[in-house]
Amino acid sequence: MKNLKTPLQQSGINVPISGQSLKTTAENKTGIWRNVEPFYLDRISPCAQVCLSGHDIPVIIELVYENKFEEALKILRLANPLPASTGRVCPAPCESSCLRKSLGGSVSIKQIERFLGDFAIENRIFCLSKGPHRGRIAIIGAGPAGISAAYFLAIKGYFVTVFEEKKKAGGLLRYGIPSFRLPKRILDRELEIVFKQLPVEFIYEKRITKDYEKLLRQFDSVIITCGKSISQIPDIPGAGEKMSGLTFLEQINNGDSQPLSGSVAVIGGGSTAFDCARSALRLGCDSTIYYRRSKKEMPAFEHDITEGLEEGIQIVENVIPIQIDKNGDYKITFAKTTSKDRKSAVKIIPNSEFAVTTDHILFATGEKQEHLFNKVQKETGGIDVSQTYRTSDPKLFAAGDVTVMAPGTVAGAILQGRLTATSVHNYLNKTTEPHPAKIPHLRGAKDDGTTIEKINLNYFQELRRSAQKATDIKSRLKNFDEISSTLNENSVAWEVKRCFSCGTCVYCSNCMNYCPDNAISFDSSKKRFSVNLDYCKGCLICVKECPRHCMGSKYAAA
Amino acid sequence: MPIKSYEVRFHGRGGQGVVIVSKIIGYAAFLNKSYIQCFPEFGVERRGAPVKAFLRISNQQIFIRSSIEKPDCIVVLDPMLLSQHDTLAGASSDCLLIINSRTADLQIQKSFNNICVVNASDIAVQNGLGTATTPIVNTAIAGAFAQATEIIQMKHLEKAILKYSPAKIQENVKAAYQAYNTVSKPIPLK
Amino acid sequence: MPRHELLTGNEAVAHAVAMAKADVIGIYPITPQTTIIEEICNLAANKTFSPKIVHVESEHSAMATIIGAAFTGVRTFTATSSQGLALMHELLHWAAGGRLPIVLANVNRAMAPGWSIWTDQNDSLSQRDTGWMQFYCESAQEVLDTIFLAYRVSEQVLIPSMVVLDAFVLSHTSEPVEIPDNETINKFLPNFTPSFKLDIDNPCSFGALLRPQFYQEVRHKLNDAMSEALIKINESDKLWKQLTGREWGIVTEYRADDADYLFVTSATTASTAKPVIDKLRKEGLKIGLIKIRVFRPFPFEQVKKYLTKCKRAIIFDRNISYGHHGIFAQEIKSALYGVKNSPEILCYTGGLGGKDITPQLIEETIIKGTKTKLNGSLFEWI
Repeated sequence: MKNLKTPLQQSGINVPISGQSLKTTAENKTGIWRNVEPFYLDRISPCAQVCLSGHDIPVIIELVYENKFEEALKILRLANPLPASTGRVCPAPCESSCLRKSLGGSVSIKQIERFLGDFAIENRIFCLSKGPHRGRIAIIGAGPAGISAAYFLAIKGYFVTVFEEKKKAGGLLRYGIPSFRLPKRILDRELEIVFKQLPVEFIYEKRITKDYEKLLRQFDSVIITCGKSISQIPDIPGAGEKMSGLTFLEQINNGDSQPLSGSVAVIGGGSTAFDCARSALRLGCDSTIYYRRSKKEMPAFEHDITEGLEEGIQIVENVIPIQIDKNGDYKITFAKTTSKDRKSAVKIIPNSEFAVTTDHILFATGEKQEHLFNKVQKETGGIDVSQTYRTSDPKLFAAGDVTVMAPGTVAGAILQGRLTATSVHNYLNKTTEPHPAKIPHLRGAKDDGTTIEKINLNYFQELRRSAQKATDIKSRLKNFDEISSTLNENSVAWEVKRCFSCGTCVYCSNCMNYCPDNAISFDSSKKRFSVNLDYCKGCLICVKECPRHCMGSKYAAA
Repeated sequence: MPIKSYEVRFHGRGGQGVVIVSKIIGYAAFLNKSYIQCFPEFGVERRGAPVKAFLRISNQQIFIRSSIEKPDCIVVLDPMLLSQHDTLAGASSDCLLIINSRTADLQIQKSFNNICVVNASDIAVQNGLGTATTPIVNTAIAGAFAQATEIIQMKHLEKAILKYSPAKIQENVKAAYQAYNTVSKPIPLK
Repeated sequence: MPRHELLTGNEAVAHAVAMAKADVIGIYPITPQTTIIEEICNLAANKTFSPKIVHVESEHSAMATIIGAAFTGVRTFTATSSQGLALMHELLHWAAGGRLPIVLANVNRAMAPGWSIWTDQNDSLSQRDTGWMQFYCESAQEVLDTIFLAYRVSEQVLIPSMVVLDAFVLSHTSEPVEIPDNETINKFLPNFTPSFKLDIDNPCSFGALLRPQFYQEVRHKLNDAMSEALIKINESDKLWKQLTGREWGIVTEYRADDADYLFVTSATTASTAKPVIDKLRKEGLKIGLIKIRVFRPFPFEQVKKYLTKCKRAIIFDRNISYGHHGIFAQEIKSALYGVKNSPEILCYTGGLGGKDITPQLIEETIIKGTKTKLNGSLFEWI
């Protein structure tokens, strides 16, 4: 047979037998075709962006999804030692900003936190100190900010002494929030697992005021976190200290309450007003809330208002008390008002006065701070602190509602406690550790913003939010027992399943699977995807098909 | 032993085992070192409908592959089919007819010289093959074929039945022998 | 020792595939092919061989399946008929272009409509230009032997093979077949060692884009391989004769040496024609028979060799190229173009859709062919 050769073969060129590559197609580096290129970027999710304590929420949810509750708790405690408490009382702005909202309701992030908090309590997962013991810190006030500062210093290795004027620690959590929202048993057990194994000493019934300067000599540093503990009673005829809502709540929380009868008028529109009104209902009164602005301008959290109305509270809007007369029962004279928003002052409508007769009056019209720390405190109002919670005295720090930066929420106070702990540490060690309001994202997420438009909704179906079990209204009013129960494990699993993990890569591999050039690979030891730019043609299908906005693109580098 | 190709056409109805009997007889001949070729009517087979099968037996290689139009032998498994126009088509008066019938008194006796009638239905029923309404007559017919043609031997037929019978092998062999012993060689009438 | 069995043409295919130890078989039923895959399943069930049998949802998928398998270097098989083969059409190109030594049995069945399950060759001849070898068989024995030959040659030249047999006339007809022993098959058909295959350690792409510079080169190679195949078929046929005493040739002749007239045909028609040739010879007509067994690659040299010796070639096609005439006739004419001593050529087409080709029909055709006064080319329906 003659030696058959095609023309190209005759000129010495290798011709394949068929349409097959002579070598692997990896020879063909298609990367040079690229105009744009993808990159991986984890983004801080909307929930984490608004979190008052700065939690890295998607990472916590991811760990819960993998049933790694203890690891999730560890991440939670990077920002907050009291998840069982905040999981009950936090206003949860995270849920309001949750992008899942339109597809079955926002993820029950607060309930997940509560579940993890209860998990820690039930399994007695104590907080442990990491560092060598290296300094002595005094903290004045065992409220949320003080507890937080004590915790974050103690885990770093500091000896902390907390002075508390009351019999127990907790501050607002214990004395300002009724048991039906946060049972004392939960708070006690949570404080136990936080502090039992940390170098923190609590000295109770020790009120520190002007003598704080003595502490400055005894301790390496002092933090004032004593909050605002006195009701601000408006200056109107007939009003007095004994009508303090805070005092009323404190008595109940101390177990000193007596059954009440008749009617109670609660003046105010914040959470304290509702707590007072709802507590009074449980003691046997009819409760009516009188607020100087309209209902929608109330500073109380939405769930306070909803639950209060469910339980039978009456709300009278746009009224302001101008005089109280006592004649057996009380006669309150109100004037009607108009209001525009929460910031501008209310206007009293002339000649609109009317009287209301009531058996009891409670003022929940805000709290104020006593003038105790003269050198660092403004004449009226809080302690003057810098952005790093330092006062004019370098050894003295302050955080929480006692300061001019009063956060107004438990979670915010916990955040300030954490940041203050870092400031104290930096001061004592002459270091410059950053003060991140957000817990640094585990994978270095950027605050790049993720919106519902950036989420690829093709990958998500509507899943209904799991309902939280609550006691029926009639039974609720019989006692101060907690009205809602913690989600069970199945419901928590459902909730974490519903999470989009906005901006957080969950290794779904869509990018890799869709890459037409096989240019994406996954390093399982580093848990990281990477793009091999030798082959990436810049089609950006990976970016398009990322369900949760963890990728971005840029012009290709020359 | 035939010198040239001996061509047989089988007529029956779907479900009676027409194709199988052509294979059984063909295989028996094959065991006797004959060349054979057997094939069904090319087409669609349906239960109860008239069915044909073809068999060529030769001592030389068989090349012709067309269907059999001028058979040397016609085997009819169901006497009802004698009324069909194509059952006896192409048959000369010397064509051997092997017919399953309960009566020997057949109309066609006037036109054909070699007729072998076998009561295969009763033989089948006696041996438990099929039922009185639908007897399986093919092995009895094969026994009659062996007797009438002497082209195949009973020992080979036995082996063929063994190979192609799906069940009741002994009953089938018995039926073949019973038919073989019952029928006599066709005696030319004219 | 070889053994003898009564087999239908379809059973012969199945037994040969089992003895060739095909590794992957894609199956999808269609009359009159179905008994091939039924018998293959029987043989696999009783452990005669152990193929991976893949049940698929269409003939297209059956071929796709075994193309994938063949790329990994294993022996593959499928069988089909008529519309099924037509459905495979696209993938027939892939198999040939991919240079995969697939063997396919096609039971010739007329194309619909009108609906027909009976034989003619238009289904396989419609696939003439897909780059497959085509073997047309006349007996169950030839079918059995050709399956082995097809595997052997396909694996030597890397071209897929189609072994073609007539519906019913061959596929469903039982006749004695000599089955070689396994030792003989092992000698004739060694294990396949592919020169290329899907290999995760040496990744490359198959069926990739070929730019104009290369596409024609690759096609050139395929065509060269077809030429080489004729040589390999011949060599294999000789070896088969050594091993079994049987040879089938590329073109088979019967009493053609001194013939004035040649009856040229294919498949079972050639078988039925032999006794007719004998009869006419006895009557004094110098007639011979040529059977075109290998249609692709087309045996130009063999056709020339035999046909230049006769005065007149009577070509009988069981197929038709509409607007022209029988397809074998076209090919034979093209082989003889410009050749010295070319015979007169008469083209007949008959037996379509299972119309019975009897000895009488062939005899009449031959008589007509010898007596017709010819003026140029002739085409007639029989």
